[in-house]
Amino acid sequence: MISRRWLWLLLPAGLALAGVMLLVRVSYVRSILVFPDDLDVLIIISGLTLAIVAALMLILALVLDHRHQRRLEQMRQAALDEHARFLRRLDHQLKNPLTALHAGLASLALTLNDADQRQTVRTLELEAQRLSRLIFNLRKLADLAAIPLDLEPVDLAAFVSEVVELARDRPDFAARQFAVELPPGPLPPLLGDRDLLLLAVHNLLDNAFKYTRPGDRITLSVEVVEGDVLIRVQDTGIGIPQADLPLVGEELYRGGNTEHIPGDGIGLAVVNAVIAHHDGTVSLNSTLGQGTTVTLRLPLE
Amino acid sequence: MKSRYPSPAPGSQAKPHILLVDDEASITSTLTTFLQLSGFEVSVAQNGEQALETLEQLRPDLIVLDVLMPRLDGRETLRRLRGRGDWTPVILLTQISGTAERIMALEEGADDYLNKPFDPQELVVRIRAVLRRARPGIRTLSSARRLTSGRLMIDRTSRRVFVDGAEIPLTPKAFAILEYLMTHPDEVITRERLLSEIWGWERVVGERVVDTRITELRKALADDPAHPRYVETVAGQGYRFIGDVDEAPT
Repeated sequence: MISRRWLWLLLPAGLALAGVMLLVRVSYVRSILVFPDDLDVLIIISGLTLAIVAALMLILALVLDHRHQRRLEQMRQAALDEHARFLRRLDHQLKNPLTALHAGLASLALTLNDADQRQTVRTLELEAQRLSRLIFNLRKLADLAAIPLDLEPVDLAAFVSEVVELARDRPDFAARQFAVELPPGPLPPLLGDRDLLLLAVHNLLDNAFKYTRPGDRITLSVEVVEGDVLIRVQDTGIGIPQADLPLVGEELYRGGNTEHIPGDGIGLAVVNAVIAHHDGTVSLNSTLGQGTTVTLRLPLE
Repeated sequence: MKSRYPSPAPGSQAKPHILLVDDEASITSTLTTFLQLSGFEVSVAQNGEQALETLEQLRPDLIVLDVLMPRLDGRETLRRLRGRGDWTPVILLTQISGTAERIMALEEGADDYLNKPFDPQELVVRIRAVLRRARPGIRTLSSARRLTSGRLMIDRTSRRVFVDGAEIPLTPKAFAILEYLMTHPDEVITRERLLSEIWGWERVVGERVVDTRITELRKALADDPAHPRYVETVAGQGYRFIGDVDEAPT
């Protein structure tokens, strides 16, 4: 297939050629230049033909492109649906065995007299709880894309101070250089599900605190660009290995440099789901050892 | 600190009799042991049909009913039970975490519900609470369309709140909290439980979001937190609806 750029050039070129020759034909230039009979007409016709063919091909290319995009979109949606169905089935199949496990361990905890054995049962109970929570979160994540949003106008300044309040409760808050950057003047209200957005930004800050070291900088900034709100969390932490960057947003995936930091690999996947549900985008930039910047772009309307 | 050993229901001589209905043998066997250890007498039915058949002779104080069962599922069993005017308290063991399904479970006449998998201690807490507020033979608050407490009235179908007959605007979340507290009167509800029941997320956003909505609710109801008529803060634990709750005529 001819490249798109050529088509875009061919269209004005054909038109220009035809135009110039038309001008030549109606003006006096013709008497000065010597043209064989009707060659100019021929050139005009071929110029126009060229332009028409280019235009047709452009239209064809656009239509095919559009179809291709739509098919890709459909395939992506189908894959997402299948994924959500899989998580629901998994969740469903694990519920009964987990319920029995919890009940059995709770009974054991009530009957055992030996301290060591009770400690073992306690450990097993905690592990069973962890498994339950993981399944619960995965299921919630699958449901997130489908739940209706509780839309309300969100006051961004109040929103940011609530997020910051949440961060202040962290034991490691004082050990980081934390800053908030807001544009001067009032911010427009953002139409969104306040609690879900809070969850998303909270998760970003949670990651920023987790993957930084004492003394590192964390900056939360908000700005409005071309009708979109940009919420950015920037840190000078451990960063994400290049190879992990496209994958860290997937559930249960964790970067290769995070083994010593506890986490369940759900946080960023939740952010992605919440922001996608708001028709926004998430972009991730990171340099290993230097830090990470995550930018949420949300349409104001 | 909370005792690891559940204490028997206060004030009652005989052990409360629980009918446990679930088709999974692994669940009925383990839960039976746990409930017996927690001071209950337990009978088991494997499906809804069996439960309805044995109900007459067993006369349990409360039924723990699984929703998903092959022969007569929990929802249909509950519908038939209530349909014949039997108001034995029921706790549904639900599979679905969606709020709509939960509301439906309550409208069909369940007294409470618990999502699988659950902490068995939590089941004991719920059983005790339901038994405490159960009024034998009378339909449960949780299935009532309208509830009143003093000058306050909520209409659960239209999701509206009235004080002295005048409507009070509330956000959907604040309404859901009020509804939950009023259908569990005199029971301490932790922020964590409100989060998981109303937001559907546990321990994720933090419990501040609950407090924000409670503040909104109190402001709307003109309820002074220092001298509450409706919602009391139980320090270090959660919230409790302290007004007397009754079903209002529709």
